[in-house]
Amino acid sequence: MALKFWENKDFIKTLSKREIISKYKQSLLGKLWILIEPMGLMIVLTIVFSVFVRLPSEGVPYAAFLFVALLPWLYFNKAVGASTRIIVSSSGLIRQRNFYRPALVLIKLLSETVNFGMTLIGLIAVLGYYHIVPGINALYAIPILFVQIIMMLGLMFLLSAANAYVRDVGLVTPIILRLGRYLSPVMYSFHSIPAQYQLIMALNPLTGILDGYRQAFLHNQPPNMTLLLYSFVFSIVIFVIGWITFKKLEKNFADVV
Amino acid sequence: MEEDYAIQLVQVGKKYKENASRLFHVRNKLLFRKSKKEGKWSIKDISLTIQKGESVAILGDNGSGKSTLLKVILGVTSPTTGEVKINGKIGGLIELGAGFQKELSGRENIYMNGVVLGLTEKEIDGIVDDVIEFSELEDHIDKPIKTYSSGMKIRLGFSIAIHVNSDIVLLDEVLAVGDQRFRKKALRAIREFLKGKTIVFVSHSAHQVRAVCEKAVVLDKGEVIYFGDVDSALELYENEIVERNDKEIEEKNEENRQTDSITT
Repeated sequence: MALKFWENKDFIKTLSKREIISKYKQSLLGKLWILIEPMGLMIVLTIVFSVFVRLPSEGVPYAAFLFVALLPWLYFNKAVGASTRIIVSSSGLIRQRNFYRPALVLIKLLSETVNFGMTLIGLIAVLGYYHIVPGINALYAIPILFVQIIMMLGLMFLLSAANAYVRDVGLVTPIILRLGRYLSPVMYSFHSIPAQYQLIMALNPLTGILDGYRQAFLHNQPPNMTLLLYSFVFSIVIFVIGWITFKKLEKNFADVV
Repeated sequence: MEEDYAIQLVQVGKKYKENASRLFHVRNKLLFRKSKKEGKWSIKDISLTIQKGESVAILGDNGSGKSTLLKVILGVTSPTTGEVKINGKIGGLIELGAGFQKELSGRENIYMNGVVLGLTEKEIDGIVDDVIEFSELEDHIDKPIKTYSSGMKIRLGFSIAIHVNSDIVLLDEVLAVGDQRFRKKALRAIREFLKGKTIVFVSHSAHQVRAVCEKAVVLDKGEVIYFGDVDSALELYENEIVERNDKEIEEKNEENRQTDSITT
């Protein structure tokens, strides 16, 4: 599979580049929008949850506490949320040409990853503002990100292929994602919810990932390995399901889009 | 000897399922189960060998399975039964105006289509000027595709299709639209640029078919009823069409007469 991706690297590169260009083509502020959205969210949420209603934030300024989990969440949310449209919106190309279909999913992931990378400028700014210097354990963010990307890819394969056949998928996904934002430790800390509910919370595979980022970046601690292992296993399972589904359904995409 | 074919179809059939059973279709696909619900065979039991360098027309009424046949050959959809063997790089233009990204400029779209056809960016750099020149879109090439008229899109699509170097070229009614002058130019280009290549050509114009092809396939209700010399194929097709249409008109008249006599 990796080999196949490599064979199609020119294709993936060219299309990712154009995907990124076309998104902001007709907007005045262009790429700045990538930063404006999370910054705006951060300001509003910080005012709401540290001024109006005070939420415990693990002893860290709320804005920094929020951002470390909000940015990876937005990355997840954008990529998975947009994934239902991947196949449907490329209907022209799909009906015209027989190319390597999984490349389309990878292109979306790549362009969202580039955007995510740019939003990290915002994170650096916020951490700098509060004089928070991440320690050596911040390197744990790399394997955590890896787990997150596997999970995203699995969901993207699954949802893009399923939505080509059954359009309900594209209607349900944003609702579930919106619920996910509240049911994941983004705006609040995993450690500040009552102990009896923590176990239920831990069933959410994003809990280990988002809490892991906080441990690594804000507290210079390794992530909770049990939670992260659970997320990892979940990611692998969803990836395999997504990949098999996609491979089974891709042969007749041209008939249904 | 075996390597001489460009396209080989062995008992190829394609059945389309009813829309409502899509969900079950997915479930059955996932569980390797055969769907019980009957669909409609768009093409049935087609065996066909097209040799390298042959130019073959596909003739048939609307709904006779021409487009499905092209899609199966191109590989964008998988046949329900049988096997499709392709020997060489395949390209062409099968759905007019499709495959363009509306927000991007014409030039960007040349690159997008090129890479999808398997070219690298460098290779496209080499042909992009020729593509633009042939399409006569020099003034519009950096404007987004959404501002193009349908004729302009077809010119661009056609121009890409003939400039990309492929062994097998599929052309689906590419000359049905566009103005007279461009149609002539395109026809000439097909004969010049694609000389020696394998061409599969769909057109309703007998004149164009004769100009481009040596052989022809006649499709009727998803089945091949003739494959051979283009002149006899055209004759057969025209006779059949004329005959059947006449008969249908007659039958309708008959019905009308009967209902008339009942009412009076």
